[in-house]
Amino acid sequence: MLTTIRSLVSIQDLSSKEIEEILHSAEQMQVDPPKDLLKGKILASCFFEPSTRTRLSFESAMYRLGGNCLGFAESKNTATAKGESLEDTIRVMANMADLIVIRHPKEGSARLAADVAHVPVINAGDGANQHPTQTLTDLYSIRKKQGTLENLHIALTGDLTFARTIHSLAQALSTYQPRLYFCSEGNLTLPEEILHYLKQRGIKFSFHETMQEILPKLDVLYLTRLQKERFTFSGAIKPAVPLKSADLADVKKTLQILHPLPRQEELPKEIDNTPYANYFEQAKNGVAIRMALLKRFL
Amino acid sequence: MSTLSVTAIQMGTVIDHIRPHAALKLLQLLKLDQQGAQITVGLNLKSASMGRKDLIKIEGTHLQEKALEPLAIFAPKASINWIENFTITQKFFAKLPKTLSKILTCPSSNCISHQEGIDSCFHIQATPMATLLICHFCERIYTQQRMLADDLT
Repeated sequence: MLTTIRSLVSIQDLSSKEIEEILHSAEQMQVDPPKDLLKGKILASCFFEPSTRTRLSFESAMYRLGGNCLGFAESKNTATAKGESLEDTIRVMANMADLIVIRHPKEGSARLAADVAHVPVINAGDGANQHPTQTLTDLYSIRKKQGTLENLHIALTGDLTFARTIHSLAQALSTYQPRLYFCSEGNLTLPEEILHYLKQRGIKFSFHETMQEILPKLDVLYLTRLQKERFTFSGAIKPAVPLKSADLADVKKTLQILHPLPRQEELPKEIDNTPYANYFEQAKNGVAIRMALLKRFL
Repeated sequence: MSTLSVTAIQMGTVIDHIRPHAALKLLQLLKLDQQGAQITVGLNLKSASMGRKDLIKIEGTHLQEKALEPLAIFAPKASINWIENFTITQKFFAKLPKTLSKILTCPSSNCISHQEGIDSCFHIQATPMATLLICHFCERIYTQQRMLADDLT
């Protein structure tokens, strides 16, 4: 069942050297993308969950490099609605395209797809597990603004349990010896496997009730929304105190506020006009990263 | 060659030095009861080295190391003894495998392995504190105690 085709399912699939190469490639792509690099190639976009940025940035990247796209943005208009298994869907899509990008609500779905496809598979988010291309976008955005990824003070906040962007990013950042601060709402704790990963690598981290108490220490503030669509428990979650402009009075001038979007009450519009807001630039960087990935995997 | 003091079988396999209360779960895990062989289980027996132990005797067959790989994870101190003419002819310990497939179920209800009816697969990682089982699909990490504690087969 297992193939030997290289895929990107987890951020752990990439070595530090490979991450550096992708970030460097993204810099070049952002300046001067080679317009016919992927002429004749087809990307299959298999999105079983809603997406704006990830799906469209992959498609934008592919078109900008001269390639084409096919696929679906929701599964209800596919044979999945007739009960077709994911494995069968991927085997069929692999015959129609040169690379598959998949987003699916079940954890491990991208790994299964990579195991059965005879073309590369890129994980665009599998349940609450991983989102490696968002992580690469985040790393790229941080380095672009901060000038480095080394030894930064970074807060990861919001939904620590179900936000896959936090899981992937925490793992990726551990290469660069950050000081991490985690702020969560209610019982939304960090999964054991992420804690284990960080402890194994000797990363310093701490947990905090509110982000406001740590703002002056930070280089990067990474916000996420509550992933209510993934909650496996009933009962209310104590809402986090939303960030306000007034909270930013004593922050570093170089503070960078990131959010993978879409946002909810955790990131009000008033923050957009502060010099620290970097999330729309972050979204734009996603196209360059996906161009770099398509070049690498095709 | 020595003989086992607890009991005697003419030919077969004895899995000895299983920690107390684990034999019945191991029997289920290894599906030994489904192979048609006559099986005897000793629970909470006195042991000079362990204080108390469990034991499993399978008559008429020499179980191969590959079939007993889960022992290395869930009963690492258990010895596997082949018996011929009431005598131990070989004694060995199960080696920790790199992966374990089909035998266990991922505890995460949102893991794709439940939905698709595919074979489970765990990567095995030995650490000083515990042996860890990492789901190949959803990447969740479990200790061997957690997997044995739940009814996960």
